[in-house]
Amino acid sequence: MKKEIINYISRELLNKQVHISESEDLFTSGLIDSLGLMRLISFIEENYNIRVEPVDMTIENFGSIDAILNYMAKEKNGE
Amino acid sequence: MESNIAHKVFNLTLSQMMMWTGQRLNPNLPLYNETLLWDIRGAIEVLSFQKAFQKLVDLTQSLRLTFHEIDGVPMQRAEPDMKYKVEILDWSGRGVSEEDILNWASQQTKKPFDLSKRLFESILIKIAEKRYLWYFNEHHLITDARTQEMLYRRLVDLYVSIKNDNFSEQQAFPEYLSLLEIGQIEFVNENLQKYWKGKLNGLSKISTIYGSKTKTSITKSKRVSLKLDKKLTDKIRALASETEAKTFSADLSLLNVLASLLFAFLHRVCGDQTITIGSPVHNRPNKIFKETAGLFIEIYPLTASVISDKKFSDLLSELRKETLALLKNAAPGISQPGWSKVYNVVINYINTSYGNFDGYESHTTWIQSPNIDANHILRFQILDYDETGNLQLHFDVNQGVLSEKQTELIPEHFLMLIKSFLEDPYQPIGQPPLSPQKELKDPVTTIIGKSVIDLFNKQVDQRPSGRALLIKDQEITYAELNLKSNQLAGYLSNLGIKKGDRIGVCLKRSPELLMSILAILKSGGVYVPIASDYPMARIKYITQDAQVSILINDGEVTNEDYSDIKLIHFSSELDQMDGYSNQFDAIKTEPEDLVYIMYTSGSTGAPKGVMICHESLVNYLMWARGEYSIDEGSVFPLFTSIAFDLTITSLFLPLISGSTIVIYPEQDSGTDLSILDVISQNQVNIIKLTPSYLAILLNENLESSKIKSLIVGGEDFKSSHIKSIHTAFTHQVDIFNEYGPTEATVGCVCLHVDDADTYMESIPIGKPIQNTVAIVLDEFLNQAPANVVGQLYISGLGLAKGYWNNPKLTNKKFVPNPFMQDHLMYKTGDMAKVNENGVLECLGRTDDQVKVGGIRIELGEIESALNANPKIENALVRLHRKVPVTTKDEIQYCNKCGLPSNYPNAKFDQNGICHLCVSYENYRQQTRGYFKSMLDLKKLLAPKTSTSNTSYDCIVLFSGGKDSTYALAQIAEMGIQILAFTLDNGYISDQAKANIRRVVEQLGIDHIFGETPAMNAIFRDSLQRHCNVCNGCFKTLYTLSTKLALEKNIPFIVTGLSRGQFFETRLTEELFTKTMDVASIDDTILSLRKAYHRTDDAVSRLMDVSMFEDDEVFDKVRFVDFYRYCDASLEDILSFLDEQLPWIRPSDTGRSTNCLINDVGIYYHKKKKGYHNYAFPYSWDVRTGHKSRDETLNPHYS
Repeated sequence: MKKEIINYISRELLNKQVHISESEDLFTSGLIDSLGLMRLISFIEENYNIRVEPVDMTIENFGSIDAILNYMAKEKNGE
Repeated sequence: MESNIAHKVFNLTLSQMMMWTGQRLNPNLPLYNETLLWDIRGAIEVLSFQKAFQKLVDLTQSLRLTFHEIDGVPMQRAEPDMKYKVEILDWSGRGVSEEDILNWASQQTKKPFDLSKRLFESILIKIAEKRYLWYFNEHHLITDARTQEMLYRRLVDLYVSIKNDNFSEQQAFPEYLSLLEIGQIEFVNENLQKYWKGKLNGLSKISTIYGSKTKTSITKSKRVSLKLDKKLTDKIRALASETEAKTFSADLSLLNVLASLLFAFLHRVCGDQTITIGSPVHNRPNKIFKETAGLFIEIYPLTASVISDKKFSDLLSELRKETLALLKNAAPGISQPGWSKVYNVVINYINTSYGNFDGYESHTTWIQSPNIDANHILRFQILDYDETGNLQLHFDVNQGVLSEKQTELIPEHFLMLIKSFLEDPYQPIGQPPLSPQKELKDPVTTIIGKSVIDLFNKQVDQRPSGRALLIKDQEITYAELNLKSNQLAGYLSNLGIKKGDRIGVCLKRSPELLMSILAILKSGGVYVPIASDYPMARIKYITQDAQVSILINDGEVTNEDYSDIKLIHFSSELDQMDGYSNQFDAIKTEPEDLVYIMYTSGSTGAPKGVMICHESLVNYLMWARGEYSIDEGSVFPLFTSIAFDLTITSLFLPLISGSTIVIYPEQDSGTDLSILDVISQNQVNIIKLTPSYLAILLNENLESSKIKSLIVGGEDFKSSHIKSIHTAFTHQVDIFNEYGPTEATVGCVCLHVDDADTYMESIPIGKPIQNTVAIVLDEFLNQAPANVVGQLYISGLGLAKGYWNNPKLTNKKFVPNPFMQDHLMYKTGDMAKVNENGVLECLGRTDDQVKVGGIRIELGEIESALNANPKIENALVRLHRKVPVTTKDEIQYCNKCGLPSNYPNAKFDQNGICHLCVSYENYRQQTRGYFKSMLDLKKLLAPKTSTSNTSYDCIVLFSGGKDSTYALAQIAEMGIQILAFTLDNGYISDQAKANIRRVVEQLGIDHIFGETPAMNAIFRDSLQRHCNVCNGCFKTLYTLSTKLALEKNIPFIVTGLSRGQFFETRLTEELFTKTMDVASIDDTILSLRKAYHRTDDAVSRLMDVSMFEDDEVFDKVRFVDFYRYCDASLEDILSFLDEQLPWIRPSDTGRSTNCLINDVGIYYHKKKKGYHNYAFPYSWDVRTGHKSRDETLNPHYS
């Protein structure tokens, strides 16, 4: 799952031009912007059967690959 | 396409297409010039700057884009090589001010670009040794905010390296044109399209702001601004990060807060409850897009529901949800041209930080264009340049919608909302005031000590022999009226009447009525007027509810019904009264004692009694006497119902002024048309009446009328009446619009109509009368600023004491005035606003109350009565208005189809429906058989294999106008092989020709233009014969196309005539009523067609018409009318053209959508015949359901 998400970001948002690591700050660094993040959220919703509520769309949950995986795990467990 | 540029040209994106279209419609307006001005605080090496800019052009494909129309289709290409030398201006030592600079820049940005050439301008200005300005203007077709930032930063890089002599070749920006094609393919998918289709469903633009009725689309805009200081900006940021607005991005959260403020503001100034605005998205889905210069921005609709009771915080969370959903579903190329139809307000948030210039401080200013897209009424720009920490809010307002004065109030109102919601984001949207609230002064400045009887007595003393009443030939003087009423007062006193007792008066208009009212008041009683034509049950209800002790009547009310009250039958008890003294000392009343109780319709099912006291009545009368200049020479008619408070004016105003009342009694049965007697007898010089009566009055001959003043009241007074009044009367007439609910005593707000003023649809109601305050408050009882609609509240001396015996309702309608201590205010239920001139305008009801002939009716009262019937489960009552009223000098338009009354032999029935519509109802059914389905058309035109010896199945007559364009596209869709044919009559507009080329190109259809040197001679002949140009043009078209069909062996010619045109040229009532079947109708039409082509006229003389000599041609080439098979309405057609075809309504053709000479024909026809040559066919388009009446009456639609 981690690999898929990294792949998606790298391929779809960064045109494979940038290497990203798990803990890298995706958002404030400017790698990804709002539009990109919403694309990423669509991707996660479509592929991992999660519905991300607007209140959950925060830096805490989506600021890095690690944060995203944490959030997803939490959501999965919560169900 | 033939030229060698062909392989390098690209289609436009939809965003570009919309801008291209907008620019084409206004070629000389700088609608899309995007100019930035950087103020650089340091020295710049001019040569290096010029070199750097040239390098920028070389590296940026978007800067080299040019736009070209190829066969009417706009295309773009990148010039491989573009030399540009930045212009250098030296203003140093001139002492230019900031203002000079801005003025220069805004002038400079007005220069339009030629779209086929370079679309930017770059100028460097030296202000001082260490201060330069860089002016950079790009057409929006090649740029967006992101691009501007990229180009600035790149230019700075280039400049620094060139200046420092360490320039090395840089990588170019990715190519814009090659990205365009990827965009749509990669990102647009069915799910997204489905999402937006669903989202857009049912959305609409906001109706209006600040109640403006002007809908003129103009491009002139005015910018008003609000600069928020750091403290306020920080507070907004805090709200964004702490509340329901918060998202993963601080910028997005901030945008949510500002968007919510905009939605709240819009709701407050327009009243709409679902609001949609346009919200631009940069639309760069990945890194490469983000690094490419050029226009990618697209505008998405953003919708929220906004109601006054909703908490602002709920709006924040709704908009957060909506904005995130919008971003989730955004993709380059997804937006559609039709989207722009659902919004007319755009929000724009620009938070670019440009950074310094070669280490020097640099400040950015956006030079605003004085023009905006005519479709937008407001653009809300949020600027957060250069991280200054201070937000700038700009409102670019379409000046066709709001006046300059009104525009300037926007920042103040917006700021009020910002401050209030920052203070408490959990309050309802409607709660905070829009403008500072004013404490109101006590309006009561005059003391009313006298009663109406005091005032009457004064007249009796001053002019005893003056004529008080006149009925037929009988005159009654003031002295006589006084004596008679004294006798009656004595009689009443003898019956034990005490101060405050209610006495019903149910009399026809007569001297006895006036004597009775005076007598009741003299004896200290309270009179309760009851119309003599009221149903018995209502009379009984009122007398019982008011606890009337005595009912004075004509003898129609009998004792059996009223055991508990004393009935006085006036005529039979007259003798008794004669025995009473003609002297009577009036019982002294206090100003606050009741004078009358008047019953009006009540929404709960029963009428309610409005209690008016002496002071209120006298306050009105004293004011009216002055305002209307009433004196002993005034003569008033008494011709309206006594149970209606409008009549109070005609009853009392003359008697306190020494004037005369001419009495017009009710007729025995039927509608009361006493107004006609008032006019024919021509005795009065002032009249108080409702607009309905006014309409009747204006239908009569008023040339020798003595009327000098018209007081109009009781209902909405339409401004269209004003012109009619001045035409009908040959002398000067004073017109007053008097407004006042019964609860505020007859009239409390009034306007003396100024003939020099132009009014909107309704005449304003004016300003409050003496001792009165009238205020407009919103739902949360805030004072509404000018032009914001609220409810009208009245305070002052005229206020009723409430409803008789109904404290609950009284407390509901008469509430404490929050702005005036110790005053109540009456909640009128009328929507109103104060206009820019401080004058009140009334805008309808907040509830179900209606007025019929000036009489208030609560629809709820009728509903309650219906619901009381056990067999009725639920009732809903609505007012259906008909009865149009016309005046002689105005043209009447059929209420159904819009046919004008000056169409030859046009007759209208009492409902304002023309004879054509009336008779059509008798054969509408028969006409159904004539019209067929699209499937029939497909079958007819589809190639028959056996006879298929031609490459075309049909010729479609394609004028380039909307109807034929639609027809062409629909037939093309059927898979029919088409040859499109256009008659170039020499006056087809260039824009229409471009439409023609674009459409055939998109549809992939072969097309030819035909022409004839005889065209102008044919036009002249047509103007002489038919007073229009169209007949000649049509015949030429049929002749040329028939010839073409014969030559190419094409079996069908399809016309784009509208159904209305069928009825104009061939279908008649007789065909349907006398002919049995469709086949014989077709036969008849064919024989008419043969005769038509063989008629001698310019066409037959100047063109080759030999082919029509033989009947055979009519078999070989058959004419098919597309709209015989297609039932599309004008609305369907226009939206199809808008959404599916590159068809743009030409701006140069007047009513027609393709032809320039058409308007000449229309002008000549109107001049010669008085009516429009489209009047008749259009009326049929309405009858057959293809156009609406409004569409035919409004030339912009048709």
